[in-house]
Amino acid sequence: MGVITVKLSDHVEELLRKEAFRRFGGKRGGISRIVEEALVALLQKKKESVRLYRVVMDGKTLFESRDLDQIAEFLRKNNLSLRDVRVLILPSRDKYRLGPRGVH
Amino acid sequence: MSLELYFYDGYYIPIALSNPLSGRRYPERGEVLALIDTGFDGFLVIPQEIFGLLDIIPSREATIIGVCCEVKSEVGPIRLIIDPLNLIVDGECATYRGAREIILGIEALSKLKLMLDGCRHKGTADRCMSVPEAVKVFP
Repeated sequence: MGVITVKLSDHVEELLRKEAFRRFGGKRGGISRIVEEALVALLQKKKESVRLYRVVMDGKTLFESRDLDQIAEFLRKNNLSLRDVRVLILPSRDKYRLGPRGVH
Repeated sequence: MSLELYFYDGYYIPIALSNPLSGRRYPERGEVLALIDTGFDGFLVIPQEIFGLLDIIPSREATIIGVCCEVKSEVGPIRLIIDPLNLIVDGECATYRGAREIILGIEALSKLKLMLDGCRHKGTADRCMSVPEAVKVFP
């Protein structure tokens, strides 16, 4: 386990100490745990999505998720191929703009 | 944890693309440059060749309205990967006959903090910081 010295502004240090006291009641290691949690959250891969994916078969919704890994997992677990189902992307847009505005 | 942008005839960001539904990635190794285009109000435009390589099955058709004309495009699911930022974003991509480059639009940029220095032809990209945390730390 490493020991690192860092400089924090007075304001952030105060917030950190208050949070450590609130969560761990002044026990040793509280500050380290919060800093470690914050660093892990900052450094881990962040997964985002701007769409909802809906798996549809014969007009029936089978599954939906914002995560394409979950869609792939659902298809695999249910032995479904992309030829068997439709994957709808929501919200569905039928027009996009590309290029300068004010022409159309 | 900033990522340097490239400047040529515009600002470009190194990315990779994948289709988790087919397990394909483009490029297979490394990254490809995508043009940052605030004039495109969608997520991503890719050439038809890359659409095919990623084995994307189109979900629907859409119209892309440009300066001179309107083109019909096919739209399918895609994952944008920006490894140096540890960021992946699931979205959609459009492709049409004649699409020659990868274009990152406004919807994809909603997950990035961009700083452009037009004076020096430089730029950086970062992941968005969540607003509530930023407010808590810097009131």
